[in-house]
Amino acid sequence: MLARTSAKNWLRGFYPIFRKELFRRLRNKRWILSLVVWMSLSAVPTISLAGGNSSPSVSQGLGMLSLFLWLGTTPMWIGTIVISQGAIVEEKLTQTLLWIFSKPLSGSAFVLGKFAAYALFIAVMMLGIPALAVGIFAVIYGLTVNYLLGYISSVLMIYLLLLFILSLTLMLGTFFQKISSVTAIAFMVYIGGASLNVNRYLRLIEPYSFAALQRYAVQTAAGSFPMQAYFAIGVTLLLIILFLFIASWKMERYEF
Amino acid sequence: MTESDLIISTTNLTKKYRKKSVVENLNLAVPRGSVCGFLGPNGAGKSTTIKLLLGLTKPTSGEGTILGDSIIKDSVRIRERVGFLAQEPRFYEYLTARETLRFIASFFFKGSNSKIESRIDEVIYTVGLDKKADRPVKGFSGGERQRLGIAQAAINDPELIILDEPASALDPLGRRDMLQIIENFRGRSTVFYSTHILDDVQRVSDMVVILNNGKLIAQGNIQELLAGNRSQFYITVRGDGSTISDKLQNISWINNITIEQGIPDVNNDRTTKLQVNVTNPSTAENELLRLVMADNETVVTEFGRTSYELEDIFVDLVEGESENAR
Repeated sequence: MLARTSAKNWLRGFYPIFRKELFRRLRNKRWILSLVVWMSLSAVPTISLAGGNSSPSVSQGLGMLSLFLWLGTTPMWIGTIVISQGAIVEEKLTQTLLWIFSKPLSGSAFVLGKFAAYALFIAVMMLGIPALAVGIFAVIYGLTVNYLLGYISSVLMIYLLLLFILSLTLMLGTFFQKISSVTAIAFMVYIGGASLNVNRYLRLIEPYSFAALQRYAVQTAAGSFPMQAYFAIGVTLLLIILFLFIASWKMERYEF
Repeated sequence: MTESDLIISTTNLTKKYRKKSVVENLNLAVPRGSVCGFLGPNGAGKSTTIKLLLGLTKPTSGEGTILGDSIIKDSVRIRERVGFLAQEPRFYEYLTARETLRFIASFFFKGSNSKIESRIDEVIYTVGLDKKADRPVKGFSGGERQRLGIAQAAINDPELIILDEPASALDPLGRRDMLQIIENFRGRSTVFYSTHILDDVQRVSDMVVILNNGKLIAQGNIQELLAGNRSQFYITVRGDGSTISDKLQNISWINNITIEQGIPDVNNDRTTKLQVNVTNPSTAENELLRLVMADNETVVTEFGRTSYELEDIFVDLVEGESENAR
């Protein structure tokens, strides 16, 4: 006799969606390609630019971390938008959404399942392994081990930033029928956030926004953790939860 | 029939898009265990009704239950016990048929992988996809996709299977196989399937629901519907039939007689078909043929109670409804 699943209604279907999304990203050894791509886009340029110029020292190791956290993470936020832009819209366009929603699947489980799968992919393939490689090379190039705790905190801040972009893109996918609309708005929000400093009024909120996280990450890796970072982390976390809530709410009301 | 005998029940179910009614005051009553054909011309509101039943779209007003659960509040629970095949089923192209079924099975089952795999093997075999189970869906033909659609709808051994136009895009052989698969569900699940292929309904259904312009125009046992008007008989006689027609006009329980040209008999002689409408069917059953045969010169080549093809009933009902609406 087959055992029936017994998840709560709002989480019904989370696991199948989560597993399917991961399978899609990693099937048939695709994970090797993903790993090569993300290492090439972030870790390899950082290591080759920052390493090997002079004799190993703490400052050279820190320089490598800073370069990775500033420039190496740029392809990551772009990549987060690119990989997740069609996560929901494609299902609408190909009408697979109707099919999977004819099964016991709740709107929130659909959104959260996708979010969790992409978050795991980003954590491991896009950010985790390149960050680990850069960390190892930074130590080889002279960074002392006591800086590593700060570096881990920095990487977590970057991860939070990527989760913010991911949740934003998924939420936009529940509203729009075209991938281009999702991509354009996600890019606008990110670039708009990064441009807060150009306006003297908006500059006042920048330290408390997601846009400051990358700067705080670099500072934390260098050994100084600014107090305002707590606010920025808190606000970003709240926004992620809000975006996921709105996306779930929207999917619960989606009419086929 | 009590409420618990019904697997699908709706009360004044209505769906409007802007101000246009797509489904209007629909009162469905589908008994458990039936194979119910859901008929209607294109645009009648069949697919919308199915989406309403599955909670994939919300009704503007009215309510309904499937297996006793509300289609508005308990749609996730309903979908746990129902199998559904969409009109043009779309699957993830990169998955194989087996992976697709594994994905769908994970919505319903947990625990022992071997038991889940044997259930998957069972449905793959039932729909005849055993030789293609490990090929990506991308290369599947329309018929194979439809089979996979049936398999994924049946994976959870549902109490109710809802199929939206399962055979409309198939060639005659594919249609025959699809009807056989539907027939195989009889006794295990209730089947509710929409179609506009009347012949299919007549072949496999025991109940029919007819929808036109979003309104229910007929619902009931298919045999009763096909039996049609119980007070109509036909007699085919050799010749022009005028003698016998004149004779029958004087019988008190005969209402009226319509005369049509019949098909020539084996000797290629002319025949005439008399459609006789009676006020007392049981008397007519006993007396009518005797009355006709009493005349020695009359040769009867055919006699019986008029029955209808589903197509006649469907056309009459839909056209009648459309004229009333005008």
